[in-house]
Amino acid sequence: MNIAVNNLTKKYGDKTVFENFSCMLNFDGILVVRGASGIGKTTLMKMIAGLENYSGKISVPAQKISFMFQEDRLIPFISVLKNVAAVSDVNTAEKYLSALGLQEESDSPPNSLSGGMKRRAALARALAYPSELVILDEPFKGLDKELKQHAVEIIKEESRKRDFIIVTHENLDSKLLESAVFTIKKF
Amino acid sequence: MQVKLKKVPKKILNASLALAFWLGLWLILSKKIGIELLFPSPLSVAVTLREMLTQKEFYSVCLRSFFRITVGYMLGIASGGILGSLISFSEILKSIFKPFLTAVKTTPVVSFIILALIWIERDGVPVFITFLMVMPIAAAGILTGINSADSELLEMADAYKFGFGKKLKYIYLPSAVPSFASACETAIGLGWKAGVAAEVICMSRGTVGYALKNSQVYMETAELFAWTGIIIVISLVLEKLFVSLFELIFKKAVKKGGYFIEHSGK
Repeated sequence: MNIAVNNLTKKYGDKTVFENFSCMLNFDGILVVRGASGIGKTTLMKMIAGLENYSGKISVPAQKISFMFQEDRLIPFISVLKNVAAVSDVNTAEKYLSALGLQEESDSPPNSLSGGMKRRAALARALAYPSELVILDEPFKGLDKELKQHAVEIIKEESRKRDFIIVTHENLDSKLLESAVFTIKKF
Repeated sequence: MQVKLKKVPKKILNASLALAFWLGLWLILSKKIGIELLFPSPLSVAVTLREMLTQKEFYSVCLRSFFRITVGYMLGIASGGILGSLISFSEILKSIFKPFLTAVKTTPVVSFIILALIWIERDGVPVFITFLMVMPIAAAGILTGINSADSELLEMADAYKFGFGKKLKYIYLPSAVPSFASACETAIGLGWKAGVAAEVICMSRGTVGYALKNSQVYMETAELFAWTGIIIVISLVLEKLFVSLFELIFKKAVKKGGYFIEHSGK
């Protein structure tokens, strides 16, 4: 995938996050995005997904983009299965929930799940959405070593079919994912 | 031989103490004033109430008021619900209807009763007034609920390209239900009081308000007290009835829709 960012400027009130920022994200499979806390990784991802206004130009060769937020953002009023099926269909939802070890929790309300389970449910939703690009913002937050390894395997498997951008603060994650790395730095 | 006394539950004991206190105060005041016409004793009110309860007409009077005010209440809830939903999603409709809703909420009910007497038939006034008092509360309940929808969930819905129908089903509607249910419950007492006030002022025959006004005109103070007691009892019954009804509808709707929503009502 080729994502071109040209002369991007983004401000929140008086605070400038990006000023005339340009880059080319050229990758195949998985790209890990790193950078210091508060540098604008999430903002950049949101702009790529079309969730934030900006001035400049971003061209993304994808019609549909999955976005896993830093927060789980599961709808609390419906079951875990319905949360995932809301972006796909029941069969696909069941497939990904089961792959992530959440089949037992399918009919439970999201609020009854542990932090790690919620994270996996949010990941299942992002994977179930029929997108060409999947953006995952800190997808392994709250997952223990074993669950993280399992999630990595699923992502690697999925990356054969579509592209992934993964925002993470852990250096080890890019090694685990065997992926290219894009680091945002301030000059 | 030891006799074991059954322990009276604290709640009942407290309620009995409160009742005894107020009845005692009432009795002392009536004795002190000494004029039954001005301030009847609890006993004379009880006797009048017993007489009233033996008359067939009493029940038809209560039922008539109950029915009319319930119709006004239901109309208010339905139209307030629809109006609240519409103005939640349209800035133009909000700017058109918000001043109207504020005016209805802040204008003294008596002004509307007098105006309604000019506009519509006497017997329709209590229905109209109840409707008018309940409608803004129901609309505000929906508006508050929809406005309180989680912005992070809405952003997630945008990310996954939810259409309006999906947002309504999964985010707006479940967010609005608890505050709308609370508004409906709050409106019961208010609607009933406004309805009875309308009956009093417009002298709608064969209603609780009419009977109340007659007691005042003929200086039947014990009857006035008895009717006031009846109004309180009907209000409580109405409230209990509707709250139970709402809970039933709420639980059925939540179960049918497969939702997990906490009922924040009474």
